[in-house]
Amino acid sequence: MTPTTMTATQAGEFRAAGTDLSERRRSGVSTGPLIDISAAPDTIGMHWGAEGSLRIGAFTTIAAIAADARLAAAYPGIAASAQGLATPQVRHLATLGGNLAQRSRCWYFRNPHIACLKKGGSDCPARSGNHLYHVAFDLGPCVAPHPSTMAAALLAYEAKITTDRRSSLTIGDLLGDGSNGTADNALQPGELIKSVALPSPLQGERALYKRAISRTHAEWPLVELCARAVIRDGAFQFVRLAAGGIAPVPLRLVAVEATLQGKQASAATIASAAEQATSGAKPLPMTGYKLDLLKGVVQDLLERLTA
Amino acid sequence: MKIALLPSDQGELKALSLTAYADTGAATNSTIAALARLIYPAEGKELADFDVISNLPAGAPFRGPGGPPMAFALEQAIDEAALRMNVDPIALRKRWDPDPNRQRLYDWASSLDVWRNRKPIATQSGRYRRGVGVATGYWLYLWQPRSKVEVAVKGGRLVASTATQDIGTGTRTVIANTVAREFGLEPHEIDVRIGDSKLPEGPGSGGSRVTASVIPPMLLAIEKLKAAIQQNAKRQPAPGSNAPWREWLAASPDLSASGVRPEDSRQMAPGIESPLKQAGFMGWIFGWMMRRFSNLVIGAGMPSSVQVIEVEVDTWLGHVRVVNVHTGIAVGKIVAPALAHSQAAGAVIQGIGYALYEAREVDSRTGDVLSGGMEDYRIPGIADTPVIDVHFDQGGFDHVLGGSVGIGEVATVPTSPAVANAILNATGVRLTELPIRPDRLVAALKGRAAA
Repeated sequence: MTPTTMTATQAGEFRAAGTDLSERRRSGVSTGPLIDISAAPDTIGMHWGAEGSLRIGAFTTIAAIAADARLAAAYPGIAASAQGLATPQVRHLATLGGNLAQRSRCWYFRNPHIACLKKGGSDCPARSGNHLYHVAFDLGPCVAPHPSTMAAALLAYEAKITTDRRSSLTIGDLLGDGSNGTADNALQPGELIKSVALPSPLQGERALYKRAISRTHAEWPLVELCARAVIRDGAFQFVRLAAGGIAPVPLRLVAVEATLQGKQASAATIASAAEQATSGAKPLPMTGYKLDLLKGVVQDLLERLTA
Repeated sequence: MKIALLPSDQGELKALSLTAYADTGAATNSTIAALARLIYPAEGKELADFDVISNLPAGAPFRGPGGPPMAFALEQAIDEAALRMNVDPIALRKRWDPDPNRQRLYDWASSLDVWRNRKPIATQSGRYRRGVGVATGYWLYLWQPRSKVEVAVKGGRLVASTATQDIGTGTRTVIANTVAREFGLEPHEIDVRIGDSKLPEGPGSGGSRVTASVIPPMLLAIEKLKAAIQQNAKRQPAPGSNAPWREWLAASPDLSASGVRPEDSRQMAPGIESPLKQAGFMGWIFGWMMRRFSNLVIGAGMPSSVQVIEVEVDTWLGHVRVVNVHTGIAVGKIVAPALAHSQAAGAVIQGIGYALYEAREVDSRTGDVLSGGMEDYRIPGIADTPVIDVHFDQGGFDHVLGGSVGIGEVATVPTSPAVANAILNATGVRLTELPIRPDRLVAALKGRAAA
């Protein structure tokens, strides 16, 4: 049977660019049939709406998103996130849909010799093992952070996802709330992401992206943040902060947003708001440092947004 | 590792104690503390190495095994002593470390602008803080007895042969450059034959021994071959020729000569001696055993390195950026300058990886290696590579025929303590665990233990 004659109900793992999948095939973590998928005109590229909204086809590469000048002007947080993830080689192949649907980077999940919840096992070996790079917001049985940088950025922009079966899915609908440790997302078997819709940007909004890592580039984030703000008359009129690398799903930092809403944009306000970034955190024994880094990136981006 | 230094009332080094427990996994014979024997002489030294044996895979830093961890402890302890004694860290090393090769490197290091302009410890308060650190490294000068090189004329071309190999360290170029220099030719005109055990016995590639093992016998072979060429030449070079050997070779029948690694000259510069001499009779026994059972000689004089490193610390995100590195290296005469420069720079980059990124992470219950791929085992990338200034001090090995010893291990030894000392200078916080990752740095800056 050739991939093109397969129907969505038949079991098989989708392969777009294969940047994530090829490593799992080689290691033996991924076995079984593959379904090669390819772009159609409506599932690739930028489709601008009349009122300045944008629909991005799921097959659009990360590099194309990173390089699009109109997108960077309207949605700087999306562009900066795309520029900041992975390596140039990966960005030139990897697709937006693939980035959202990629599998966990947990080193227990990636090890073919170790069972885990995401591979049919009965418990999470990272929870009681070496979880240096894992969650600091312990929201479910699996302690691997969600790997998608674009998901955090899209959460900050309140994007909606269309699949071949459903439309208007939020990032929360797409990825779940972190309580299901067996999956990296809440897509149904065989469901395929088609496009992502971004609402029109707000008047005068600015946005930035930052990841805390040990090297300069090319490293999975310890903590990452996409931050948007509208500052009018020196006060925060609108703030959206979405963080990755800290929880099984990207998280809105609602406590920080609420603290800043309507407040004057001063160094003191920002410093005290940054302390709220860890509200609700439940770090593991080895991940307490991520809370320091989270406060650091929040303060960094808010200071730069108000500069 | 546990380390303690005892300065005397006069500011001399009286005693040094270093105990190392190495996570050797299913292996033994770690040599970390023992390497502190051969630097910073003191009245008393208590050095002990323990292997912690487990079912984990064996492992140690690959380049200069034992050297980088020894230096990470010792060079930070020296830095701490300088701080507490209120002495310039390079001046204290000059006082405590009489090795003539390193004395010259200390003079070079203390004259660097980056060192002279460094700020006092922890005087900065912003998010980003810069600091400058110094550290010293050494390695043993090793050579392999019975190493033999044949140099021949075949069809008018020069062919040098020995059963050694080039694992990317430049052996082939060292041989080609040496023969070319002696005959006034270009290196590409020399055929180098290595990588075949049928060739004359050559050295193994390990312990930085190859250069010092192949150049002396090669120079002997060249001397003999030159005499044979002149004797057997069908015609003489034109009078006043500016390339006489080109003409001798063109007129030469096929000839060959070989040389075997000679003993080094006993005429040594002041202060240069075998490091085993310090160990007295035990040193003599050890040297005899090394030669008898390992076919390796520990020669006189110490390949040495001193590095001055500037870092910038992001105190919010625990990120360390190495801004610039000055690496001073004394390994005698440099035979292949481009490759030696590359080795020195590569050693700094590798040392930065050891200091900041590299760690084998395992699952504590099963021993499974978790950092088995390049995404989870971090090494420096291009953006992590600083500006690297390489300084070669070309003296110190005149007792070795040709004057050159190996550079491989010594060039990487001091990088991690120099980075740690620079972080201390910037922030006032001393990092004693490797790698110096963001989690460790933010924990240390907040005065709590890392996970």
